Amino acid sequence: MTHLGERLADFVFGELPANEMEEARRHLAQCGECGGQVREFERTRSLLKTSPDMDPPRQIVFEVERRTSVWRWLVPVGVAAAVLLAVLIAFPMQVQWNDSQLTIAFGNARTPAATEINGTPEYQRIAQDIRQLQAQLDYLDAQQRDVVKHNYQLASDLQRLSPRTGGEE
Amino acid sequence: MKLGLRPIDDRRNVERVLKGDTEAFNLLVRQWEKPIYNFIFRLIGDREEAMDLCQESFMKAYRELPTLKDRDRFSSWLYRIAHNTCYSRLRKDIGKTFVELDPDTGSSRSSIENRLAVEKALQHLPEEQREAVVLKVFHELKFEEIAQIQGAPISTVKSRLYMGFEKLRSILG
Repeated sequence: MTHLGERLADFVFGELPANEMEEARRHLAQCGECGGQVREFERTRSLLKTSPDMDPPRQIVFEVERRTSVWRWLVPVGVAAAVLLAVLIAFPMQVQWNDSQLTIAFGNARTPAATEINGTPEYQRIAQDIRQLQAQLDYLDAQQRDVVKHNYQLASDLQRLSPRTGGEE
Repeated sequence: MKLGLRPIDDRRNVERVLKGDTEAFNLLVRQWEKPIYNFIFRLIGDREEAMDLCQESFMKAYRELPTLKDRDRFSSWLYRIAHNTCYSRLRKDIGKTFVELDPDTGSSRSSIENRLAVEKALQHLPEEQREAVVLKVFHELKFEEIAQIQGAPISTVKSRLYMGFEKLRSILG
């Protein structure tokens, strides 16, 4: 085998193929010149290796900013809107404002059972108001009928009296 | 740290990052910040500057990660980014003079003195030689990987290493 030459670094750093490594070792055993070069190379490498790695003075931590772009929200908001629309179409929404209480219900309005509301004070009060209004309405209706009847009577009397009055004129 | 020591982990973390998991990038940072920092420090010779360039390298890596074609070669790609970042910085420092070595280069130095002597000796090498020596000796990269990082033929990398060693031998004794 010839001198190591350009293969010296490959040999020192173990990058020669296995068969060439073995061949190089055999050569080094009998070539003082190559042996000296290898020893010098190894010595320099050892000197360099006395300088250990250092820890970085501070740690790098990545905190990627969360994007607040409108586009980021466009898809989820669009999907939510579509779902809401589908729900409203399939199940109509009922909104009621009763006695300072907002009630939102989806689907067909459920008619409360009479037993559920009959006993409430509010129901009783309203029912009383309705009965009073109904009584007033009945009274006014009767009054109106009397007035109409009286008017018809007056009109009839006028017709009966008018020929005699006209003949006298 | 030797390149490709944990290529499977690197690949898995790279894929997680590409799917939007930022925390996985922090795992890559934890894995590689020390070797990359030391690589940059030995090229630049200034600790704070090396830290800034290290951070800059990782930021570039994060931004350019979608362009990484071979996900099994994340580490050599990262070294390449650090190389480019350092060389951009070094270009601005043309003409900068480094502190001369102490005349005492004997073998009875303490470990701290040794480290300082090596750091100073490295700064006396031309950039390409220094980088070839650092990547080969401290990071144990293969010549092929160094050639990729330096963008040079393997034969050129070896020449740089030989010339660098020759000069270091004369400085360190």
